[in-house]
Amino acid sequence: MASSTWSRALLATLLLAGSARADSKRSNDARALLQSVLLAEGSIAFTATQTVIVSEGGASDATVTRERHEPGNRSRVEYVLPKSAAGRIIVEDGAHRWDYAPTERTVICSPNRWSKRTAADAQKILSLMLRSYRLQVEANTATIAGRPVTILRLAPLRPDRPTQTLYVDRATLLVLKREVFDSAGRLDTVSTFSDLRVGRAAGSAPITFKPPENVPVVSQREQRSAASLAAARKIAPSWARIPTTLGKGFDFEGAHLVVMSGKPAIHCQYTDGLAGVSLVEIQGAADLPADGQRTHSVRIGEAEGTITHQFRFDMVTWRSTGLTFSLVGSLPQELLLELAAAVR
Amino acid sequence: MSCEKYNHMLSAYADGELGKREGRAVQAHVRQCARCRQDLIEIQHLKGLMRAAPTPSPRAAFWSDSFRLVRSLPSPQPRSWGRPTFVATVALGAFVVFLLAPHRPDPEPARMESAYSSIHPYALVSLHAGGQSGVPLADTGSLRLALTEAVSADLSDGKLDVE
Repeated sequence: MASSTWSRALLATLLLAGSARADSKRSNDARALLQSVLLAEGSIAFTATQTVIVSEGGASDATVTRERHEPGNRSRVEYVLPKSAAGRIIVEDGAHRWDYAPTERTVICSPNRWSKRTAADAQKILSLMLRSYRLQVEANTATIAGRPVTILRLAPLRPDRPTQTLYVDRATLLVLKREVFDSAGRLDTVSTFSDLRVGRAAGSAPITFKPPENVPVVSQREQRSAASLAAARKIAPSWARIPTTLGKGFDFEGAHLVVMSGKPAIHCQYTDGLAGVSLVEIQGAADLPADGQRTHSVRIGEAEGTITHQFRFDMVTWRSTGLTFSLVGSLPQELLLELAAAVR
Repeated sequence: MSCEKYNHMLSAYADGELGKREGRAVQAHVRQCARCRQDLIEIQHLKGLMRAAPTPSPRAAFWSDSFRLVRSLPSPQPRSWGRPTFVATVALGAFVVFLLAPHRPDPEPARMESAYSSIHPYALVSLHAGGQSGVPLADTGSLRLALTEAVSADLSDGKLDVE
């Protein structure tokens, strides 16, 4: 009898140890995989069709684009659906982003900087991500666009932000499918590549864009930008506040100077490694029109503010010490308000 | 007609104030002149900004406050444009201007004197989605969808923030 109890206990211990070892191995595998994905991002040549389905309230929006990507973050994306956007072309040529809308007969050209990621960069991103997310490679496998994939789950450590599942192509490390679940566990977004052809098509010309004749080009002026906190504080005007962190795992990522409605402004980006928020500071008083959206009043410390919603993003806007602040992100409103309070 | 003359007509053209012939001539010139085309875009953008500027409306208590002030003023003297009444009129004028100005809670009034601006929600979405498109593991597909919607809305409203 006693011997039987001991053997059961021993068996349970061995099983638990085995399970813990398997968990630990899956976690290590996930880190290594994610680091490789980060290094490969923007460097893979492929053509594909991408379908994106985004849920908004009770409805959902879908877009279908035909895409060609080349190393150096060069891409040409043409909209097939929705009909309202069909024919729209977005080209990234490594230095600029060209957005051509045939229906509006306008080309918008904006600066688009990209630099190849180093192993140190990838490690830094991974470390930031690990503060807020648990990474795990799923034991089961799947096939997307006829290619075997590894399923990587990024689950938040705090229940206040989305979970993502990435389906990573085993051969190229390209993310072939992505599912985003909101903090309540509801599927929010699905992006999938199909008709995938990896590699550069023989004889294809490099990706460039030449605006069609007689179509005006609206150029957004080159903005001064900074990728580090020290650089941001150098370029920032004296009135700007640039917090190192907003708390809850969101650290400073970059900033650039912009003009919002004719007023000088600074746009600072914060990230937890996966989800990002934008902090926009405008010199002087400005308000955010509701624009048909529901808006409600909120308090951010001593300041009164508003929170509104536009295109799946929430925006908290308030004024303090002669500045107008807006915090924008696709995060639960409670979390945005907590981050806003950290700015004050 | 010289390019310079067409250039001077751009603002009237943007407002639809030109006659048919002049309008067609400006349109034809803008098609082939990059400088005037760019100027026209800027003029249209500026006009869009001005259209979007908020129109101040009086507070709910404006009329009752005004009547109370008027009633509190001393009765008119025989020589009604004398100095005291003049001062009172200027004071009333200043008060009316103050009441008509947009009234919002203001933590630091001294630094909030500059004119109000409206931030376009689309512009914030453009800024955010544009910035996020470049971050690691960005969901470029859905960000692009938001960016495209925001830019389209900006364009159709003539509100695009062009520097």
